[in-house]
Amino acid sequence: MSLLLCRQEPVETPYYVEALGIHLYSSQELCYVIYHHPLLVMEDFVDDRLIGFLRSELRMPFLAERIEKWLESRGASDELLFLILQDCAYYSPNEQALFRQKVTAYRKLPEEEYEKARADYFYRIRLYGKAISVYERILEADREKKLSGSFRAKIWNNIASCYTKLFCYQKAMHAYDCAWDAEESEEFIKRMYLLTVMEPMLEVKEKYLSMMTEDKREEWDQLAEAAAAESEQEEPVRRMEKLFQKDPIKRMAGAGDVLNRWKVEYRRMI
Amino acid sequence: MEKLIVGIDLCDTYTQAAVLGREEAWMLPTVICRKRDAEEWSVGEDAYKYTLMGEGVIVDKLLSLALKEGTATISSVKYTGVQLLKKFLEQVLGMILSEYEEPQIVQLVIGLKTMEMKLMDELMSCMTELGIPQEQVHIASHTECFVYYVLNQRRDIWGGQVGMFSLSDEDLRYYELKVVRGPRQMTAWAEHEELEEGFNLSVLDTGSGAKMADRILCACGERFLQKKVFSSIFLTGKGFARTDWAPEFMKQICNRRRVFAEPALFAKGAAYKAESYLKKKGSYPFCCICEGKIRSTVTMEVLKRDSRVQIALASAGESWYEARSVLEVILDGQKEIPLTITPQDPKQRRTVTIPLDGFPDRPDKTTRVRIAAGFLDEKTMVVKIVDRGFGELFPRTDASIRQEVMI
Repeated sequence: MSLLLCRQEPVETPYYVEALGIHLYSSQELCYVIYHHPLLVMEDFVDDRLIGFLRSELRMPFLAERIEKWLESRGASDELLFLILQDCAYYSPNEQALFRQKVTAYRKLPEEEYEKARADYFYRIRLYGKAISVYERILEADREKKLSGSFRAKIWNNIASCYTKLFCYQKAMHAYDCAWDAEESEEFIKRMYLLTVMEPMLEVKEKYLSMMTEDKREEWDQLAEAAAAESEQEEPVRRMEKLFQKDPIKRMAGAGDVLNRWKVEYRRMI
Repeated sequence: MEKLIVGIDLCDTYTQAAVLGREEAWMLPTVICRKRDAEEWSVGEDAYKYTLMGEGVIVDKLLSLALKEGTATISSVKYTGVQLLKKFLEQVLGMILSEYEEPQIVQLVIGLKTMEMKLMDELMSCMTELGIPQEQVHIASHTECFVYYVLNQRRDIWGGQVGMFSLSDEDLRYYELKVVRGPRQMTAWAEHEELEEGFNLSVLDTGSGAKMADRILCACGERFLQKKVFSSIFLTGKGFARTDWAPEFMKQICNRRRVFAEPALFAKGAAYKAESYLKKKGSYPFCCICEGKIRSTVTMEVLKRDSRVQIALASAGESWYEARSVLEVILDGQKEIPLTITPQDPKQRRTVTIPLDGFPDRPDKTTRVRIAAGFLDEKTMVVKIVDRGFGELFPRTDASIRQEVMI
């Protein structure tokens, strides 16, 4: 337990992290992002824009110069991330060592596993479009079909999940189809069926219809109903209900705000 | 351009002013007069003159009037006490400045008998309105002015204890100063006592009254000066402008001691203090503990680049009125702010903990708080803690805590 003394950092122009959709106003926030989002910062994060922010806004000219010289002589490296964490001293030496271990562990992964981990990370932070492109890159790189069927099925499954989140149900259906081709699993059939629950106009290939037996459908319908009931209790839904109980003027204004927010969020997702 | 370092001793009955490097001081009654038929103001003896001539209306006890938010109506115009005090100070400053060519006040200290926050706030705003920037104006207690005056004399004068009697129409006070040499710096301890034996100076106009006053002072002298070794004794105030009315008292205090009479001691001490603000930090080797000064140091343990260090929110010897500090810290698993209060005797050190009730629960290291400290009086520190969030990652809330800490 302790109190960390903060540096005086009168930041006027914050640093925008597009992937997270947030502005950073201090060296501590920068360290937080580096520490908690290693897969985001391990590729192309340390650039001229960040160096400019360190120099002009955070008033850390020596750190900026060290990074600049490193980039000139040796190119991008994870060491630069460690250097930033060390110089800002927001994390303790132990925490810095843990971060180093985490980064090293990621670097030791086979390339496709590392790429999948990155794509999964993008999925977690709701950057579905970016996640899809990384997943597709993994599949494209697999010209010699070195990847196992199970691994490819996982990739297609994740692509399908991304498309579902983007409401592109047709594409999601196609991805589940590919996942089935890579590795036959009843889970993919179930998900195809659930897609049709969400979008009844969606067509399922003939070969899968026979696998969706009456019993199975009943079981999956129950699942869908339970999920729908659960989602009705979620805070955003409750907020919407509250909004629609208000008088028409307030309701319209609130609905406009919500709609705008959704638009922004959706644009970020794709 | 002449740069002036000014000290003003502002009392309810008399005001004195001194400019550093000038022997004579100004002394005038704290009264103001406005002409009946024109917006013309005069102060001090001139104010009495115009009033006796029937040309103006006089207002006295300007400090009390300002303090109790009183008003005075002159020629159908209602003036607040603060407005009159400002006009009085304007006239006093005008009187000083008129004696110099192209003068500029670079530092000004106002000495007050009692350190009332309200009065000090009003005085600071008066001075700002009169065109003296706030950073060039300071306020000190009479005790502190006494310390600065004495410590600016030769060292042998304050080598041992120093005593002082101050006699005015308002009161009779005894002051005492002792300088203690420490390993890093010297600490000047000073205090005063208001004596019940105070008398109106008009009694000195008659022989029997003067004799009685002499006897009163002798009794006080016996009480305070016996069994102690003094390097020097000072006499100040309008009552000691002359000392021939107190032959017995003078005989008593001059016995094996050096005695100095300086009627404008507080004003001159204020000017010395004003000068200290122009000196480099640390060039003044004293820590002054007296009325108007904080007597304990308040610190907080923080982590600075992996080392635990104590950071001071307030330091002993600082003027409580001017003591302010602000810092920002990030909470790492901490749900409270512990403050360490260290008086001059370190054995009496204690810790006060301020719980952060009502602050949002966030992961470790993602709550930044701003801690601001100031003082209501010599013994009451106010600490305000405000949630600053952690940028857009964890937005700030309205959570805040205000706590008074007795030190």
